[in-house]
Formats: sequence, C-alpha cells, structure tokens
Amino acid sequence: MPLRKMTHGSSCLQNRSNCSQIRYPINRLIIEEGIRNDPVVIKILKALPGLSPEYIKNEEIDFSCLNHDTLALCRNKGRFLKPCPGTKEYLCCLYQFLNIGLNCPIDCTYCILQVYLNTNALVVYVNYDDLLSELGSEIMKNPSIIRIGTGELTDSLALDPLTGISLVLIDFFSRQRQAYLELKTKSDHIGDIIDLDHQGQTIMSWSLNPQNVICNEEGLAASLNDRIKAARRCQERGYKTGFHFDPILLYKEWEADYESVIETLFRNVDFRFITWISMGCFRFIPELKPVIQKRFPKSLIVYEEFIPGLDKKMRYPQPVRINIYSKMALWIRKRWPDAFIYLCMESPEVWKASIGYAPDDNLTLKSWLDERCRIR
Amino acid sequence: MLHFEDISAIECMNLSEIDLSDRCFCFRFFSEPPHIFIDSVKRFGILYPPVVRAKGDSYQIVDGFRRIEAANVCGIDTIHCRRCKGSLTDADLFFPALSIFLSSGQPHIADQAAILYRASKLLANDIIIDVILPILGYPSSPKVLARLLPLAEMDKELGSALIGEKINHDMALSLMELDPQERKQLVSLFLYYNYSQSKQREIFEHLKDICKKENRSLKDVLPELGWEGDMEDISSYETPLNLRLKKENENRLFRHSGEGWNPGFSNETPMNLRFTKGDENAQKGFSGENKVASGEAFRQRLKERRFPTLTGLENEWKKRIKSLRLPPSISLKPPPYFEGGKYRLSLSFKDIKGFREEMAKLDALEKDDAWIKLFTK
Ligand code: SF4
Repeated sequence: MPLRKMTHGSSCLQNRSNCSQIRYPINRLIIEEGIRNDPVVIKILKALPGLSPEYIKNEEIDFSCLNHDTLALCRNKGRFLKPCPGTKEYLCCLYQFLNIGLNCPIDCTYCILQVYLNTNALVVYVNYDDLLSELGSEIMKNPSIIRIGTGELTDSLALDPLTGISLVLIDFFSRQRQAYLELKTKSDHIGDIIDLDHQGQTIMSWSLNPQNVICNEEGLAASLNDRIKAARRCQERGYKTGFHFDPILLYKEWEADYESVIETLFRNVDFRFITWISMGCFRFIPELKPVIQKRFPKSLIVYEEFIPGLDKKMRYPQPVRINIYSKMALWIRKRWPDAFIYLCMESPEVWKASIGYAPDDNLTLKSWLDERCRIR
Repeated sequence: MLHFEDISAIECMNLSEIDLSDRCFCFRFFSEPPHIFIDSVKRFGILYPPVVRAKGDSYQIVDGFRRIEAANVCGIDTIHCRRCKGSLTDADLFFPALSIFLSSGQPHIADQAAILYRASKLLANDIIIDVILPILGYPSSPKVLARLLPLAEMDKELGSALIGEKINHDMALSLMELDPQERKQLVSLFLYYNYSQSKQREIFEHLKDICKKENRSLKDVLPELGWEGDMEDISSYETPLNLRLKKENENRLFRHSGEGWNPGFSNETPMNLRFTKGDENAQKGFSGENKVASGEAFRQRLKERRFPTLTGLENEWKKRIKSLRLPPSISLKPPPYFEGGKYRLSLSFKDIKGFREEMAKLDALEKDDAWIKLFTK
C-alpha cells in the first residue's frame, strides 16, 4: 500500500536536515492572540511562509472544530508534567510525561490520540519558559531519579524542525543529574540536535516496526532504515538509545518481519549504547475501533483476535502475547545476550512466561530503568 | 394549500383512467395490497374512498394506493373516489397528501423512510429536514435524515423483518451495507433462529470482522459456519412473528374497514432454505427438533472462528473441570478471558452443617493433583 500523499496546495514542514523528506500537510495556522511577538511563534511563522495566520483569543478558539491540517500555537495554561496514567492491573515503569503539545502529524492508524483528545488539530505550546520553570521545580522536589518523556500526546521529534523544543529540552537536561529525558519518535528529525552537548542525560528512542507495517499503518513516519540510520548517528554522537517494539502488530507474516527488523537493528547499531528495549503488543480502547474502521478502511489491525484486558483495553489473548514476546526476546538475545528488555503494561505473569523475569512491583521496575539511565 | 372544499364529493371513476404507475404520494414501504385485503375488497368493495386528482390525461392517486390496486387485482372497472380540484403542483400537494396519510396513525419507521424518499424527489433538502422530520416526530437534523433514508431502499425480506420488529432499525441500517444476496442470507439466519437483537448484533459484528480479516465474502463464510439458508419469501415461515403479523393484519383490516397494514407477505413463494451438508445441528434445527440448540451451536462455531485462542482456552478449561468431577455444590469459574485476573469459587449450602461439609470437600480438593494442575499453565 502506498504512503498517504500530502494534500495539494498545503504548506509543508520541511526537514532542514539531510534526513528523509517527510512532509506534513498544514493548511491552516491559528495563533492565540497575545503571543504574536513570542520568539517561538516568530520562528514558526518564518518556517511556514505560505500560510496566513489567524489570530484568535484563546477562549474563542474552538479546538473541537479544528481539523488535522490545522496548526494551533498557544500557551499551555495547565501543568506540563504528569505521571504516566498506568493501570493498577499491569506493571508500569512510573514514567513522567511532559506535554509539549497535542496530536501528531504522523497520523498512525492505531494512534490512541484519535479518540483521546478533544481536538484533531496539531497544538504546539509555545510558553517554553513556563514549561522549564515547572520542570525545574518538579525535578528539585524529586529526591530520586526521574525519567521524563515528551512522547505521550505527540511524537517527540515530529514537529521539532519547526518548534525546536527538543533543542531547548536537551540543553536543560544536560544540566541535570537526577533527571533524564527520553525523546521517543518515529521520525528521523535529528538534524538540529545531533551536535548538542547532551551530557548523557538524553536517551534518543525509536519505535520500530517492519517496513510493511510502517507503510500500511504509520502514516507519514520515517522508514525503518531512516529511523535506524538516525539512531546510529545519535549513538556515534554519544547519545544513549532506546528501542520500543510498541505496538507489535500480529499478522500472518509477523514472525519473519519482526525478526528481520531485529536483525537489521543489530546489524546497524551498537548494542553497548542501547539503554533499553521495550515491547508492547497492540492494545486499544474499544472506542478506537470504529474510528480506525472509518478513517482507515484498508487497515486490518482491528480484526485480529482481541479480548478485553483487565484495564478494559482490547488486547491479544494472553497466550498470544506471551508467544510474541518470547519469540521477540529470543531473537533479540541471540544478538545481544544480556539485553535489557522490559514490557510495557503487562502483568508479572506475562513477564515471567515470556522474558523469564518480572519486577515485584512498579517501584522495582522504576529502579531497574533508573539504573539503566545511569550507565554511561 | 388544499382545503376541504377543494375535494369533491364522492365520484364514480373508471379504474382505467387512474394512473397506477404514478407513485408520487405512495407513502408506504410495502405498497402492494395484502391478500387478505384483496379478499375484503372482493367481498365488500372499497369502503373508504381514495383521493385522486386530474393530471394530464389521467388521474393521479393522492391517497389510497392499496385500495385502488386491490380493486385492480379484483378486476373491478369503476370505483368511488374523491377528487382534488384546482391545479396544484406535485410539490404543493405533497403536504396535504401526507397529512391524509398520517391521519390514519403514526407510520412505521419503514413507511417513514418511504415518506422521506418520496419527499426527496419533490422537495428541497432543508424543507425535508426542517419540516417533514419534525412532522414525523424527529429533530431537524441532516444526520437523522441520513440515517432514515437508506431504509427506503430495503428489500422485501429486510423490510418485513423490520416492520415485524424482528430486526431493529440499527441492524437494518447495518444490513443495508451488505450486498443483497448476503443480506438475504443473514436476515434468514436471524429470523430462522429467532435471535435476540443483541445476538444479531454480535453475529453481525463477528461475521463482518471475519470477512475483513480473511478477505472473504459473507457468501463464502456463512456456509463454512453451517448456514447456507436464504429464502425467497420469509413469510412462508410459520414463526411466531409471522403468525402475529398475520393476525395484526387481519385486525387492522377489519378495524379500519380500509387499508390494512401490509407487511408484504404473499404466502405463496416457498421458502428456499438450505443447510451445509454435514451440519447436523442446523438440519435438526430446520426440522424444528432443536432450533434453540442449533442456533446456539451456530453462535459457538462463529465464536470459535472469530476467537480461536479464547475458545481453545475455554474448551481446555471445561475439559479440566470435567476431569475434576467437582461436586454439584462447588463451582469454579476461570478469570475473565483468562487474562490473569481472579478465579471465582462458589459453594452452595443450607446451614452451618452443610457449610462444614463443603469446607471438608474443599480441603480434600486442595490435595488433589488435578485441582493443583488446574492453576498451572
Ligand atoms: S507517532 Fe505516535 S503520537 Fe504520532 S500518530 Fe503515531 S502513534 Fe500517534
């Protein structure tokens, strides 16, 4: 299936680096009245010369009416940092999310954001000063290691060539000792950050899937090769790297395809600089199914066998998940015998049955991951 | 606007002068007169005069399609009608015609769809949304119109099932997404096993998912699950539904002495129902021996196809429980969907003595290898 094409006549967020030419369609630009002169806004406006911005008072912006091709620049009046919602039924690594914006231009078929947010627009929060001050005070309050990621409500790097937020964050974290930043992405937008002095406080992570899954399900994401190339470049510049096989999708040829992804990964990156590898099978809240069926009628991912999990999300049945994780772990360990693998939102039972060990509780899992961050 | 004085007194007209093909104001989903209605016209004539109006060289029917058609079938040459005077356009006459039709009672949802369909041929969309939908008791909303209108395209089987309340509106709309042959097959399956509406939805969703996943058509999948039935006319079933509809039809006919309500049954075409060779349960069901069990067996086969892992786990569990030979007073349920939740044990007893006895049985079970094995994967 070919990649979805950009709409004609739209302005493009074009990569300024030499990475792949990923283009996201943006046809409308809304800017909150009162931030016209914000330096971030001015920078973004310069990068989108073809668009005439509409300035609207914050309270008058009806986010629920905005479309996927709208970029809205505004201030976040709420909190930026919040703990991963997790669930009490499955093990969670007690991660913290930093919300830099809402929605993602990559538009994966399986993306939870389609039903999770009350807007379809790409929202970018431009009040970086507020963000950094909240971050600083939260880190100060926290006595232990804190792992923070920006990839919950958007892709960490997808809009980076435009917003430059990762630049600001990597610089901020480089001055921390207890706090680590994880930038999780399906893009290869590393041009602006590759040469930064990160001080080992940032982990560059990629979500990986076989190329045919990328073509069919991951919208405007970078190809597998481009992601792996970007990861290698980051490793060469001393960045720690992480890889997330999440969501793992089940289909007829999944075994051959996923093993080949693992093969390609280890052929191209140095496992000594991999901080972690995580795995999580595709899961979704029931409300997502009709949305996928409507928006992506060619996608077949929701037609596999699913059962409601303890958290009410639809999941592959437990024996299926165990089989997937065991095989994936085997393929990884063949290439990296001491691989540090963890599972995302799974029960200790599934951990033990598939990768042979399980943390006792969330805090233990957190300590394992914290420890991995420390390794230089 | 049409006023009472614009309608003539009863006049005698030649049936040949009436244009039976002009269906501008035909507001029923099933417009053909039912047999029982034709019988009545044959015996008593038309008791309630239809309304027509002059249009071109002939008369256009404004109200009373089925009465006039029944007269035609009975070979009657002349009938008594009322005639609209004046020269209104079809669009002008639409509302008076509709109000005459609605005076006989709230129309069924299928007839409402027919009304909207006729309206869509004559009136602008905003008039339909803002005026006709509220007349029919709906809010003025394009979404409501979009939901109702497709029902006007239903085939006879589906229309009958909807009118007979054997299939609900949502299911009827879902079935409209299928090709006509597949729709027929599924309607026949639902009616034959008399599945509840929630079971129909479950079956529909599972089948749709299987077809999508396997890239197959319903026509291929249904026989593999043991159902190859379709029917040319579902009315030939002596199901409780059909018997009730027949009765209601008769009651209406005699109550109003006018147009009866016609679910479109002819009772003449034989049901054409086939089962896949080797499907004994279905065949048993067909012979009426064990229809409920056979309907459940179909659902189980469907479930096994849609959820092979889950049904495998369930079957394995049943086997293990059976081999345990638990006393009838003790029952054990696995975690929901075998997803690592909790097992549920229940005991039944009458008094403290009974309770002690059950606890003793549990104590014994605890040492039983088969019991321990039950909890090991
Ligand atoms: S990259 Fe992540 S956030 Fe973006 S659309 Fe895909 S799943 Fe959603």
